[in-house]
Amino acid sequence: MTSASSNTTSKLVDGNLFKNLFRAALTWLETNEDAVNSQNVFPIPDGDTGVNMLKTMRSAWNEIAELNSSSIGKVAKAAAHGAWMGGSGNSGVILSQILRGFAAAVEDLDQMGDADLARALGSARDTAYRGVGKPVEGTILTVIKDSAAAAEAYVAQADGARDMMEHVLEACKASVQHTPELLPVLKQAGVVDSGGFGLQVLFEGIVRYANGESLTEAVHTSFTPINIDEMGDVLDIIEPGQEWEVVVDFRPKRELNMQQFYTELETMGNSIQVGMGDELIKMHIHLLAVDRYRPIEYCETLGTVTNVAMENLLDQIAQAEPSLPEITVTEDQILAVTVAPGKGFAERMADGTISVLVGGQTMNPSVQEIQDAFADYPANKIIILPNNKNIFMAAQGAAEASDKDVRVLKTRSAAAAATALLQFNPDGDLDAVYGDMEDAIEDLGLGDLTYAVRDVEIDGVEVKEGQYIGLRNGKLAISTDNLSDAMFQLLEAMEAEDCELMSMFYGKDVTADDASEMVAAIEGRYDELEVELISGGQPHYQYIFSLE
Amino acid sequence: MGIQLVTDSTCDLPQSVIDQYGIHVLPVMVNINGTEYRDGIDISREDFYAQLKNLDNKVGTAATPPRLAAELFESLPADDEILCVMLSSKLSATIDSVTQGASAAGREITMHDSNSISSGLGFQVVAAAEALAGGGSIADAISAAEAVYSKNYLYALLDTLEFLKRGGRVSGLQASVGSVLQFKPLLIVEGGKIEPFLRPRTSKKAFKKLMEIGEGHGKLEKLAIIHADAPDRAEAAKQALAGLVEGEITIVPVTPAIGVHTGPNTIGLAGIMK
Repeated sequence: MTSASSNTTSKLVDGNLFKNLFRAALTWLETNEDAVNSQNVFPIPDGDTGVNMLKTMRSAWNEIAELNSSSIGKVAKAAAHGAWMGGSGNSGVILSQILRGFAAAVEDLDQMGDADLARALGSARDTAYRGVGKPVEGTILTVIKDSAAAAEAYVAQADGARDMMEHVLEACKASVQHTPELLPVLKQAGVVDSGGFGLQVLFEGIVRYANGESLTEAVHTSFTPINIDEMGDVLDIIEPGQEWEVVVDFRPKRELNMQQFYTELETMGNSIQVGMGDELIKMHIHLLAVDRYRPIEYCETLGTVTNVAMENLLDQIAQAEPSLPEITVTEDQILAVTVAPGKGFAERMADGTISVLVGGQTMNPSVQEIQDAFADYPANKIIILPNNKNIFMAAQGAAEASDKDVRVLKTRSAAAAATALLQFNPDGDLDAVYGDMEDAIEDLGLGDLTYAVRDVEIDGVEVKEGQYIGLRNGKLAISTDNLSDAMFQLLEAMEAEDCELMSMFYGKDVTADDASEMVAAIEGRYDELEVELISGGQPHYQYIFSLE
Repeated sequence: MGIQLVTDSTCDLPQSVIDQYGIHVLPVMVNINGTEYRDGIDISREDFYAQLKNLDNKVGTAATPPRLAAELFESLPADDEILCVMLSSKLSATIDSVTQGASAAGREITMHDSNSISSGLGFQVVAAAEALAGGGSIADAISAAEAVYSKNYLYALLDTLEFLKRGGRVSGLQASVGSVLQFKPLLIVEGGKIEPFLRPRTSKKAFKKLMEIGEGHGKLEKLAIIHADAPDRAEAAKQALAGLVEGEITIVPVTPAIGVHTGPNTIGLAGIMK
């Protein structure tokens, strides 16, 4: 991206410049996505802040990409609307509120100066705080608050919008660094708040653009190859523009400049992973169909290609789509909307009055996606089961944006949703049905078994990257190297000896045989416990279960 | 000229009450591996539940044959009137069958559909019998039965859906998650039909829920705790709900014709609200 601003004073920002700045912020966030994700407290491989903020920003960008207006008020309003509809995850939804507050403050302006910017950041802060039931300090909320305060205090000295933004960025960075002091869980995990850091990256993108700096070379992370043995099923997150997966093994003729190699691959596609083994390099990339032979040809120039594996991702996705029954809900009935983390879950939960949103690989659907799951059906009474804490806000957003009578049942796991949906009676009274569903999950124990994507220590539980970790009701409870040990340690932590029934959904990386063996082992250990096993098909999580 | 009161074996009334009012009880039929038994007459509860638990056995029920009804009607004094208070026509073809029997016997009968079953039916039969014993007419007896029906509730908590499914007596219980997650069907008998009410996951929670429902209806005139081969659970329910009625809570073992459909380890509450 070329710099547009070196030839302008950047004291005033109009609609066109705002659009460029917005694109710059988005691009810089794309570049630093992994860095933002790596700040997540929980070392679990989904629901990442970077992914969610990016999804929100892209949805905002889609609203303004084709919009040509010199009025910043018009462009900001459109961007805010797009962000709102695309808001995913808690950080994404708060980001959309920041944009909404910002847009409201500049609504009547064609150009924005430094004092306007300070006012708009104040409005952004107020809107963000209002949108959260119980604001927690040490999060993105604190960071927008500190940024706005810095802007408001600087109005008298500021020399135009660009100067103001640079000043805000410094305050923003300091605020992000301070978040671990406010939120102990961050300090424990040795990270800063990921949402706040994401906001910093967005502000940085704006300033970098204004200063003509590159937006595509990450400064927050450096590229490090991983061990070839650990690559395995490296990346199964598939994004738009990723039509083929290509994996090339080659023996380089001479030592490779890894940074250059990586940069060259970036021009072809994304989701790049490079593994190094004994004199062998394994390269993994996702790209468009037209580009699928390019990395092979490129690797041939670097050495001897020994193996090539190609996979049509679009076809793979089509195969993985669950087959869901048609929604037959009538005007008088209640429609339930639930988010399924995998194919098995989706197929088992769906029926004529239960609309299932498959969480996709990134898991956290946006406000718009949740709305789409019910808006066009005739039912006017809706119960949404988000099945993940990080989807609560988007679900609430979808509820508020709708004219229908929408309730959100705060299910933290798909296993909780399955139990709640068992009580779902589409022909009942909305309050009564909601109450029955809520009752059913009140004392439910929820367990998740997954693996850690990085080292961390939370609440006295020390976790090494790659270890299995067990979450009890969403909180990290145990970690260990062996899956079966992890299961038994988690069951012990959840006092399974006092329970009658375990409903266990096994993930897509677990075979039915392995899962059955696990069930036999559990029933062998706990006499009183009956285990029912269901194929959930969820990625990343070996097992998701409920205990009661 | 008197009035004869007829009901069927699903009323679950004890023999002492039947004798006291001189009520005639027509048996519905229970079928085990092709052999037909008259419910409450040819097969004991003990023998029946032993057979029911063996899932290889083919068990079922059938309406009272018209022949049995005709035989009863023919035996009643020719100038007596006949009132039949019988189990819901939405659950069994017994009302049709008995009506055919009356026609074959050339007898006029007054047929009253209780819209209920088990003690829900039993309460109505007793109310009708009391009205008749007090010198009331058939119309008076029916009003008395209807008055009970309007204040009656009937819940049943099953251990499994298997038996009900086998008998095809309930619909709409098997969609989506209901087919993969086990639950303890908590059912309500309403408008003569069995409707799903709640789906608690464990027997402990289910029992607690049933007790909460019982308490939620407040003080009662009468309460019967019905059970299919679950005397211990029935006794526990009786203890839990002791404060709800002034008199004795009766424990009623259901007749095999009902047990066929509920399966063993079922308990239920039949109450008459104040």
